[in-house]
Amino acid sequence: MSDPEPSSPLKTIESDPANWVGLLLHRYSTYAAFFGGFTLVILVAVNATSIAGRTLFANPLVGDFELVEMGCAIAISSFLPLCLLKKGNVTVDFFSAKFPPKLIHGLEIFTDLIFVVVSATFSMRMTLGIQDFYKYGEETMLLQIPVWIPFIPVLVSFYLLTACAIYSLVSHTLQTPRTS
Amino acid sequence: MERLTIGILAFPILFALLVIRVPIGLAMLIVGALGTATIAGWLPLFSQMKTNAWHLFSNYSLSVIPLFLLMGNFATKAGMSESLFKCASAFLGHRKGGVAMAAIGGCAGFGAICGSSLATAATMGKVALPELRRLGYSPALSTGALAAGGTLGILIPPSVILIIFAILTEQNIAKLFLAAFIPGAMAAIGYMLAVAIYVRISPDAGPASIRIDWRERLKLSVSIWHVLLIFITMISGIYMGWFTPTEGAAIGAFGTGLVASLQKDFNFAKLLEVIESTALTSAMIFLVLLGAEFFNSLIALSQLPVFLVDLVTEANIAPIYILVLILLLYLVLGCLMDSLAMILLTIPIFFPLIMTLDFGLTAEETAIWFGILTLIVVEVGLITPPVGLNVFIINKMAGDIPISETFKGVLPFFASDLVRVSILLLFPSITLFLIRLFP
Repeated sequence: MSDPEPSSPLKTIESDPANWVGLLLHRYSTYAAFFGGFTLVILVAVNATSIAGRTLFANPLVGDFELVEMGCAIAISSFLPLCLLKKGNVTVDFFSAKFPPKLIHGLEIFTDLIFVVVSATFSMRMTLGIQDFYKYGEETMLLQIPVWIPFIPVLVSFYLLTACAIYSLVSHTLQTPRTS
Repeated sequence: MERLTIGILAFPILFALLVIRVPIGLAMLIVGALGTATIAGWLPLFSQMKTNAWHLFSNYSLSVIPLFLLMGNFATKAGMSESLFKCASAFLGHRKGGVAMAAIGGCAGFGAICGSSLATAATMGKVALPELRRLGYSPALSTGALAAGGTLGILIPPSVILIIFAILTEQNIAKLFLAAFIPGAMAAIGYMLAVAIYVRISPDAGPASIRIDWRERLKLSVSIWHVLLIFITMISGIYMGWFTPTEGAAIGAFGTGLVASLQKDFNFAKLLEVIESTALTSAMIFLVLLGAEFFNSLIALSQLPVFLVDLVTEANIAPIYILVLILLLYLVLGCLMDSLAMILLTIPIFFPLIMTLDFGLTAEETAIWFGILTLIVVEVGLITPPVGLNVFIINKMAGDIPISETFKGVLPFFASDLVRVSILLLFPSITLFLIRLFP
């Protein structure tokens, strides 16, 4: 799991990557994560309103489940790019602890490559997915919101994820392995 | 190639990828996808990928996870760990080893509003570790108690791992939470007993502190009212069916968020910290979930679970041995792997197997009992070498203690875990007591 005590997020935006592409991607990924985080906070409010509405005023919020589902999808996908850049995804480090740095560097590139293939495939397939939703006029049951609308931020997040994966691959490949 | 062969081959390939540091979620995803494509062709895989990430991320049952994480992360900024620890030390501090027991008590309390072990260990460590060191507790005992105490974050409901188990096995989350309650309390008491035995053997490790009078104790007890209120509202509401687990988590996040925002030092930067750690952990979990979706559809397609059930039925081994074997396997795997990935990887295979075995319980009872036992043994992995994450977090926080010392300090708690699992294994009625009481 990720470090529960991260350094100040704003600090990382300014100090971390060496070049402007990395800087930009870090910045957008962080903003995306904040956007997702505030979406979660809104979901808290939606749930609170819904519970208060039905217990206190016998007046349930229509479609609260749908709002939560859409919001959750938007939030989760917006978290993915930052998690990639910050290496928040869990790995098994036990075996590789004694690997030489050169090998680890090679393996990092290999992982990056898989990440690029996976995220790019997802982005392309999901582009078709959103077209399907649009074409067949798929709507949510109660609120009748066209599904392609909340799908847009999700898709954007996957494209950002792909960009981050490519950046990570390129910058790892250009880097010389750490000697420590 | 036969589909069963592909299903069996998937495991060594997956482990090879894990060994070379491919993130767990990504490794499961790629093996699952390639295996599925080999069995069923690329077309179904590609058409699945159009929307399956959307469907997974917008799954209502899963929406409880980011909200519980948000609740826990707000709780770490709400000063609750401090009041819990102070209150527990007022009651226990005058005993030998009492402040270490208080740290465990504090962890148990914090575990009631936080579903993550690492966050519990880190938050409680920040408050309790300096105090333990100041009072002259041995480095091994002070770090060991906190690393072990951290696992209470997951053992005491709410618990992210239990939610995932419930979703995977289609069990009732509320009942699992209820069933986890007694084993969780047993864990806290067992850890405190471990401290008591520890200081009996090496009395210098945990000196007694001064006794606090009852007026002060009462005052400190009142100071933790918000923790109790949030926990009771959330758990009873979910159990009574007043609201769904997601709504319960939202109420919890609202509660801890409110308390956090009333702290003097809370500001916008802290809110962003809460959001960032929620974001990173959620993304990590959902990537593993996405990978598991692919991997598990491969496992289902390969009919490996059916094969395993047949194999075990033919071998005619006593059910309890099979269960013990699975739990032992979890202990070993837990030394190497993240608990969440372990659950996602193994439950689709082991759960159908367990459900065919006769333990003299109803199907639901078997499922819940197995879930709680699994929860405990996978969490042991957080304090066992070589990669016990809780141990590393607390050790790093202390700064000046060799890691071997912390692992030594964890030993009595590890022993306590084993005793507890054995008791729960021999007497299923302990775990099932509450759900039988409130059917």
